[in-house]
Amino acid sequence: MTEQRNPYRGSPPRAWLRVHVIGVDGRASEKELLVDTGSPFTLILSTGEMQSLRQMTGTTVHTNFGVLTSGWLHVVIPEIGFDHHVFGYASDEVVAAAQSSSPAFQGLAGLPLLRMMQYGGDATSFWLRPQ
Amino acid sequence: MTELEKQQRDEAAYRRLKPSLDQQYPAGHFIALHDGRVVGDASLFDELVAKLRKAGLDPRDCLAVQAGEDYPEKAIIFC
Repeated sequence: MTEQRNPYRGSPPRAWLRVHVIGVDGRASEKELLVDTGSPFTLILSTGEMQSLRQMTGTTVHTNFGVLTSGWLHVVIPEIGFDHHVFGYASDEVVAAAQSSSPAFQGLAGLPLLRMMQYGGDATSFWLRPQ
Repeated sequence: MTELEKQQRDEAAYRRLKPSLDQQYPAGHFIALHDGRVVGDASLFDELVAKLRKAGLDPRDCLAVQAGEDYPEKAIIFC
């Protein structure tokens, strides 16, 4: 079956997924994102990554992590044929919080992104499948 | 005017225009704002970017939204 399957990672173990973000120059940048179904945002990257990868600008939002800027990102998950422009946000504070579980995490993937595909998990791993 | 101030100007314009944009365009339609006004629209994101470039605008300097979408001004993150 076509899927992306990732063993839980970090301490405590956390679900995560891997995306490719395509920059305006066409180059793909691979990101490993902590999965948080409680997040109301599609995905959150560092401010530096957002600045370099955004295709267009978005709105801002006030949160308990401060003000988040946003932008349109070209996100691809090759294993499941996912290829969309999504409205993502930027916060170094959120990325730092994600990295407290594992320094490998480069951001956060939230429920709006997960709703664009099938997702689930078992005792050992988290998986994504095509919508 | 700094880049942040330009973004804030476009966002303020979007918040002010949102009710009319949601009536004028079908849900999901892409709309671009720049210098506080609408500068382009398209049914697909790539089509909007192409239109902006053809008009001599850098898409990265433009605010993009989708008609009918609600972009929150406040939110809580639990992670």
